[in-house]
Amino acid sequence: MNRILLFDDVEENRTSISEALSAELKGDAIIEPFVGDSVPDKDQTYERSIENQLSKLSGISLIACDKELGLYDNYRGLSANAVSVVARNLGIPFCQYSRNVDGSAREIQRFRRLRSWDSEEITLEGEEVGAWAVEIAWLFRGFNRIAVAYAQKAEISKLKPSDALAQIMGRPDYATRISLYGAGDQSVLTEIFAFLDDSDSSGPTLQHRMPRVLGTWLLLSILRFPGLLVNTVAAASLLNIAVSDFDSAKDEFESARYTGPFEDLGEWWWREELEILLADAGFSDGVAYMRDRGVEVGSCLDPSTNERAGCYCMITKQPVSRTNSTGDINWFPSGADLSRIQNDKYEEITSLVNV
Amino acid sequence: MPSASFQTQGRLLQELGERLVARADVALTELIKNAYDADATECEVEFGDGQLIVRDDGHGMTEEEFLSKWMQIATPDKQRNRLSRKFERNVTGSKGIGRFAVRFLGKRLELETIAASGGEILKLKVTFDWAAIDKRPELQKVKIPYTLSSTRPNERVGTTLKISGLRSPNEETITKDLRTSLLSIAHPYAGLEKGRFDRRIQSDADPGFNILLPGPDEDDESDLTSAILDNAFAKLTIDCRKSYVEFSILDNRDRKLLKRRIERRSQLENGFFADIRYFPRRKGMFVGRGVDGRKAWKWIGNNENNGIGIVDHGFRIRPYGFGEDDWLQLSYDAAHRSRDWRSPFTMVKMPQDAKSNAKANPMLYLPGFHQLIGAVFVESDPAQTSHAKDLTPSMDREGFVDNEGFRELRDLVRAGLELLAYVDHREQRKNEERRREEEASEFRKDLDAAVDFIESVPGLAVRDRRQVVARFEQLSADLEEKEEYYRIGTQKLEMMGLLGVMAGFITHEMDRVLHDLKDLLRKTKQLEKKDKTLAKIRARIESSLATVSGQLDYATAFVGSVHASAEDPGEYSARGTAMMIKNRLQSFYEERGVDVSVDIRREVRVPNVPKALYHGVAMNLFTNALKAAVGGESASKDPRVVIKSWNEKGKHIFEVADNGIGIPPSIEKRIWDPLFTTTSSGEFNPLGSGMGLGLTLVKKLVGDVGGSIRLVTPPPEFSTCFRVEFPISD
Repeated sequence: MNRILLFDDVEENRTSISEALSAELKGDAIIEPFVGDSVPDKDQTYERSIENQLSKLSGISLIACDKELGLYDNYRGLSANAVSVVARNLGIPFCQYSRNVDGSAREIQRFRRLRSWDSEEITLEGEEVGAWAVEIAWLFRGFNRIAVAYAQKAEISKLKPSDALAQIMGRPDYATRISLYGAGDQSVLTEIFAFLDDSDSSGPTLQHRMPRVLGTWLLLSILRFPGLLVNTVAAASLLNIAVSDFDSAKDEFESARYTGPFEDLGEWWWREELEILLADAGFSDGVAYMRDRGVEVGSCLDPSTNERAGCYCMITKQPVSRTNSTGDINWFPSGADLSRIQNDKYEEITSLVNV
Repeated sequence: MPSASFQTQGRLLQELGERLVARADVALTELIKNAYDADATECEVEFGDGQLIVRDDGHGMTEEEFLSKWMQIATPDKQRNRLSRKFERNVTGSKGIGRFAVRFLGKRLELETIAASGGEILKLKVTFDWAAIDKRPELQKVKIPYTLSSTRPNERVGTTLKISGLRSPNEETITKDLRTSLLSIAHPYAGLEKGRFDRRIQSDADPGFNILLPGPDEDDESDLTSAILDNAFAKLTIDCRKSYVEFSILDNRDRKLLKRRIERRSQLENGFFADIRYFPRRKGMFVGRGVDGRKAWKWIGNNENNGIGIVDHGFRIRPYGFGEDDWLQLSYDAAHRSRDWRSPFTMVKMPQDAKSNAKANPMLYLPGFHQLIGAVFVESDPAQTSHAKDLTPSMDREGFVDNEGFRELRDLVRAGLELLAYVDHREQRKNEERRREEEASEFRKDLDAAVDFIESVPGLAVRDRRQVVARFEQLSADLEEKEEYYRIGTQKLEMMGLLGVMAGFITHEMDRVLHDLKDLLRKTKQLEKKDKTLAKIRARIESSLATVSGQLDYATAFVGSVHASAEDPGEYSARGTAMMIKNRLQSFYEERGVDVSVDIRREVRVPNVPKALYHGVAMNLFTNALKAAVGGESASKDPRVVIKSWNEKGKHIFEVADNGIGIPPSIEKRIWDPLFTTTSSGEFNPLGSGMGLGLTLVKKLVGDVGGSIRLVTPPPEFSTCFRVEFPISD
């Protein structure tokens, strides 16, 4: 049976999240709250002590952790960071949530987090228990989908990470473009390097770790940075359809919709599929394409210059034009060519934050 | 069962003599120590006819002692008897091999020793031909002939060693070098306090021990030496006992600057006593003290005099304090500008701002070895070989074994020097403050005198006299006011630094507040369906939330940038900075109808200035301008602020101008003073701050990176304009 481990140092919170999550999971997994009643060995670090305890449990599919721990009686000062280290050591998927306002909601903080995206942990976007429960449940299902693919298809375990992920995402033909997102020294991928020797490239250790590695990579990089896939705003910008009109137009692009792991955590489309749809119909943008189908939509404009947008600003999360934005940022994943930062924002933030 | 035994060859003595001792002065010292241990009152060293003669008036050796002690290698006698037989001196030798040091000095030794034995006084003579002994395969079988005879009436007890076939044929060189180094070893630190290790007070019956060395006596410098030592800038003593250690620092008027006692168990059975005098090159140190300053500094600067040595059983131990030796790592730390205490025993806290402010860091006041004259007096007890933690001389008689005991001694002495640095730093700061006050007081007296003088001038018209006097009195009052500003301002600046610690907590707590506020907003939205009047409140909360959230975002990033200020910031956008600070305060100036414009071209780059500094300066000038533009009755009806920046001829310029009331020329100079503010009153100060420290800090920070700030003629229609200039390096 799959287990979701829950670290929250306040009993009341553990209970409320467990109840909400239980309702979302509908019996797909057991929720196991970490109550911290064991006494850690004084000669060991908290990490080692918790690692020892968790390594005795089987079937842990996800660890969800409050960012602000520290009140566990027997583990005073325990941090989410320490729990994430345990998760990494054991190869278990990990996510965290915070009762404080999430830093990513602010522009400079968002920039700083993007700057170090490859060493980040998955952080839930919701702000209250109900939203967290939904996200945790979908995260669990996403990771589980990857784990099932590995368990059921023996040939996947023999593939390199980008090829395996392409298979799992349902588009093996995009393996090369997916591999672009893995270029460079990304700690999310380096996690498996230690297990990637030739003699055991398809061994059980690696297979056990793959859901965590591929799922984290997919969420923090491929789904986050528009390029190969586009979120709603980026899709509207790419197609030149006003964001406010896109909802009424999106059914026309259903064939391009992404249906792989984590599809329920948002909406994404395959960028190339969208472009092919327009090209095959002989249109250069979504306005004309939709008009041909009897639907009038507005153009997607850069809100600060009113010129045609086309790209996506990672800071404002709004459409942005190529000329009014900074791209080719060397710490963005390769392949994320629609991900940009609006020029003024880039200038403002980098006047205070070193890049 | 067959058995085996060790065989020793004649060469063993050569090994003992030559391998154990590497220096002639150390070898000779071993012989002098033997004389001391034999209760001699005098030991004479002389050269003549290719011979080196060491003669003492100790108790000599009887035939039995010669055979059982001298002729036994590594005799444990001195380990068993730690006190000499007559004067009960603490014996200095222990391993029973020191006498073989003569082997190092020359090829042949004639030993003549006269001792009382069984009611008569007998003389024993023996000659050792080392080269011949070396050749013999078994040391035990070497026969050394000796004679025993009665003495003549004028012969007195004692031992004479005549060494010939000297290692160096150049007698004169040997004599001069040996004399110098023997003097430093055997007569160390005449003017220093030796505590309980002073040999003169060890025993009432002991008449003392004198060493006579060859060569002419140089000028007697003892008067100069003691005069210099007595007038040291500070005197540090460390008294380490088995159960405590006490540090004491006195100034040159014997004023106690520090006394600290720590109760602790020492590894050193006999403890130690250190007397260290500090001679920083300060003006007028020897003035009026009966010492010729030039001579004194020359003497102190001589490497043979300065440094901190270690004296064991009255004999100085090489290499500590000799030449450039750095056993206390003073030179190392000076070269590396080390800013942290090194010794684990240093029990004073490093000041808060010592990391960033060199002037506040006492470690940078650590004395150099050439500024110190001192010694550490010890009595090592190598006899207790099982007690390996205590001070143990190394076999070659140069230095101590680097064990726990030695490390404790080193760390305690180092702690004393760090305390000295701490006290010196503290006193200098006090003196600086005192000097400043005295100067100000003098100036006030001069002013008073000038007033008295003017009032007494008969030819001056009464009206003129009153005017002049009034001006002087005003000047005097201004001065007092400025002093008060300085004093309180300095204090406040330091206190403001402490506020930085709070910033992190405030940011964290604000996150929680914002989260709760968001929660409230969600609930308000639901209630809004029933009560439409809530919409306005909700909109206001939303707007405040966005503003505070943005400011918190900025504050967090600013703190992060301060932490990263040691990194190379590279070039960055001046316009970006201006837009960032403008946007942070957008709701404030829009509500008050201030027209804020940024007139900076996109390509203007800020040179290599830390980003937090540039932002801090820009934000300060901008908020000052906003306060001036909207403040109270003097507010402009059409308030405006403009921010400009450009680069020209090797400098980067940043300007902020406003059309507020302006700064009257009479207070232009005062605006940089700490505490001076025109906006502290809440009534006129919508931003609610106005500590009067902003411009002081801005000026200091800009100056720290080689820049400048001043008031310049404002652009047309503006009343005040601050201009900051930063140099652009090639």
